[in-house]
Amino acid sequence: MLSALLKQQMNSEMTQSFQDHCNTILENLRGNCRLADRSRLLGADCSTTDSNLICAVGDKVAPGGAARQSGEPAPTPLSRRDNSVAAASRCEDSGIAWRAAEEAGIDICLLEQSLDLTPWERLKENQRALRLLMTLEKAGKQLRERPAGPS
Amino acid sequence: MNDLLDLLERLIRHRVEFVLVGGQAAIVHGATLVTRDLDICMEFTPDNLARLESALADLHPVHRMTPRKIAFRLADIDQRSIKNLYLQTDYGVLDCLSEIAGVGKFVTVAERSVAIDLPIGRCRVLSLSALIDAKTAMNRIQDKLALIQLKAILDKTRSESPER
Repeated sequence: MLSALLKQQMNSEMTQSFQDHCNTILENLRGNCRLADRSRLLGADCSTTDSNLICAVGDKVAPGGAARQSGEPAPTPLSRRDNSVAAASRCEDSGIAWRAAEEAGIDICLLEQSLDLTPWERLKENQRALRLLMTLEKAGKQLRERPAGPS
Repeated sequence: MNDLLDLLERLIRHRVEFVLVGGQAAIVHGATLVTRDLDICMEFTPDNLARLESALADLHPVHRMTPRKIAFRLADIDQRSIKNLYLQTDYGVLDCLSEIAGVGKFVTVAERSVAIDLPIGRCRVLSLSALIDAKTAMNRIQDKLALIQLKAILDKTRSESPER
């Protein structure tokens, strides 16, 4: 009898917790217009558990990150992070500065991707981006210097 | 030609004593900026300057701030009074600073740096917290943007070692 009552109580709590969880996600999805506003695509490693969707409205979901529960170490920018836990850990460390960056318009997904790289990979990414930038500048210069005429 | 990593490799190979600072340091820590130059903090001792000159020897270094782009030659410089070198090389821009605003002179900068192992060798980089101090002190628009990112990254790592 007692066992049955306990089980019923646990089920009730779990159901309530699950409902709360779903409501929070739905509330965040309804309230957060970031994806539509910016018309940007999420990176390949960004899932619907991305902090863009979950963390913006409330804190209810954030502390429950899978990485924390599994005892994974906190992300370390000077080394590559484990991609398998990166997405799961996105919400858990959303402190004031992280949120401020997001509110300031910093592409958090890009920042996350960068943190998943090694320092060397980050430097190479910059080099690659710089080469592209210079190629575009060169093309722009050629365009400006081209004699005006029918396009 | 602009290959800042080759330039960095040159400095490491020629054993120039330096700490990577500025935008490249921000990138090392994870900031998603694109930066066109290499900023280093170094001690302006005769030996270190000689190693720098040797590292850049065949890259046609010039003082980029001078109107006539005067060639960089140690023999032409009063090494006792020099504090900064703003150079243009075949591999890109290299700014050498003896002091970092918000952090201090080379000794302090070195104390507040971390060593990273790259495929091109070991390199010291200004720590994340020191970089935030430097960017805060500079207070330029470009620094403010970097600062937002760096603080966000620090948020992610505050449970780690505070001096990163």
